[in-house]
Amino acid sequence: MKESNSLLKSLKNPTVRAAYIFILPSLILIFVFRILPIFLSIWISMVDFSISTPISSKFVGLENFREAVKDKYLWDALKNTAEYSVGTVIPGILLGLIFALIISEGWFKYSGLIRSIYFIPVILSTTIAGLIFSWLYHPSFGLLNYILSFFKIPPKAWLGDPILALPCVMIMAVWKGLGYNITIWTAGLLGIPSEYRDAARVDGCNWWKEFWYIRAPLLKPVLLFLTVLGFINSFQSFEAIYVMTGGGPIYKTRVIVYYLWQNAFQWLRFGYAAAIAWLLFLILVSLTYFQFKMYGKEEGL
Amino acid sequence: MNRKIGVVSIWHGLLYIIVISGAITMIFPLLWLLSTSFKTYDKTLHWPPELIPNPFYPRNYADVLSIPLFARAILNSAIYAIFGMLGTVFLASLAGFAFAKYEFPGKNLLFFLILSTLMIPGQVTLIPNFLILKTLGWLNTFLALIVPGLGAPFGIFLIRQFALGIPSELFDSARVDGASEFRIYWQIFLPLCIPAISTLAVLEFLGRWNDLFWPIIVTRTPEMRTVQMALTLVCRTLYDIIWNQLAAGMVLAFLPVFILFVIFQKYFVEGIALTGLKG
Repeated sequence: MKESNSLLKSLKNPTVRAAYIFILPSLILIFVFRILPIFLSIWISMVDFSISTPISSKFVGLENFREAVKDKYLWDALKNTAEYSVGTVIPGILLGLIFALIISEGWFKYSGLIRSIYFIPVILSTTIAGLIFSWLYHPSFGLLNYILSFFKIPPKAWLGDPILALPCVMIMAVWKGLGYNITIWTAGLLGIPSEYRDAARVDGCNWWKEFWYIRAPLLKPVLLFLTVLGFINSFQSFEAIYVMTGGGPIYKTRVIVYYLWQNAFQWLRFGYAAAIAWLLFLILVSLTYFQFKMYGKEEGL
Repeated sequence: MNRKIGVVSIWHGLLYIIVISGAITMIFPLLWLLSTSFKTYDKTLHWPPELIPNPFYPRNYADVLSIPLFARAILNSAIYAIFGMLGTVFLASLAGFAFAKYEFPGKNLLFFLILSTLMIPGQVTLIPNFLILKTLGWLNTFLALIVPGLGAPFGIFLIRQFALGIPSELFDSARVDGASEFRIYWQIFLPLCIPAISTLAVLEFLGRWNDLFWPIIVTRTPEMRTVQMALTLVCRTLYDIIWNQLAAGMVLAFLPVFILFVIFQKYFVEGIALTGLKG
């Protein structure tokens, strides 16, 4: 009672009223499209969802989750997602570091221009990037097979090959994301005062020792940032697979979100798809927690 | 001494070669796209492939634009990206301003609530959002494309962080002079906030122009397709893709983003660095 009185009183204050009016549109939108859906999603994941009469969907408790844990296709999708994530995030981060180390050296000219060039694929849509690579990988007329023919390597059906398809998508993703990794690493490297390096040099450290003992420890937060964000994003990838392989051949490139999308929007199994979404959320939370934990251990926290 | 310098410059030369070959690898697929877009259909099926298109065939651009649904898709994407960007920037800057520069009951709680929604991945809210839009009867309209994205927690956060660095005296003195609160926002806050707003604007535009996932979910009819969707569907025969035409379509779809990147590079890099990549 007292609180609502003070709220009413403060609403008489024109600046307070203005502030509420300023945040109100955002607040309503965020409530309707971000907060309410969280609770709806919990409910949907626990019913056998009926599209025609959602309200009378039958409550099934954790049945969708039980089915998910036993679903061989979901496990396959999880395995593909993990492979895809490890195979894009880690090479991307390492290559990014190598290039960032070179172009952030004082003697390197045109580093700004080089960074811009590496950044161009980042702003390209995943759709276009995926289509360009599909064309490069084309089994009959693709440039890749042509180039390999000089090395006497017989043509392959890259994206049509169950073993090669996922790595082919991964190569596209590394190509597309490299400029991002370089940018973040460069920002980290340029943030280290040059006095640290100079002092190490004066003390007779060679380049490698100086990097490993002086700069590498200072770059750990950058590494954490890139791995955490990299895994969160790559575990949610959908578009590259949708454009390049459609999950095939024989489901070998079907990732979690693609499987979720199929369940929801092709097979109209909304309840099951919502359960998969929550499992994905749990995986993301545990992955992030695990990475912070590893980082804390390294730091002795 | 000379020898040492020689070794160093060999090293430097080698590292230059590595970085430049990397840069060529980055650019080459785009050059190949450009080259394909100027080829005749026969030449895309030609073996060996040619880097320089001969004959030079710019008709592909006219051909792809004359596909009514492709031209429509470009228009749809422009509407989706521009209105989504303007709306988000307006609402997020209003809210960010209020969270940074006003005192009101519940401020911290509300801010925390808004930020905490960032932890929930989009897949969790995807299905309920689809159903909400279905219930509202908004599916397959621009409302479904644009409105759900207008409440932008990250945008509010970005603007608020920037606004915290602006001295409050500027607003107080305007208030003493009798300016209305909205005028303070519009005439004093917004101009000061341009760096943060530019970063956010670029990010919001790019995200929507390049988006494929959300349009796939909420659009139904060919007339509502966005350009990225159209690219996955047009220029196809039953068995294969008409690559030269599609390449022209892709160049057209990338051109606006590329031009903006050349002009506003700083904001692109800043914005994307802040939020990470999606794929």
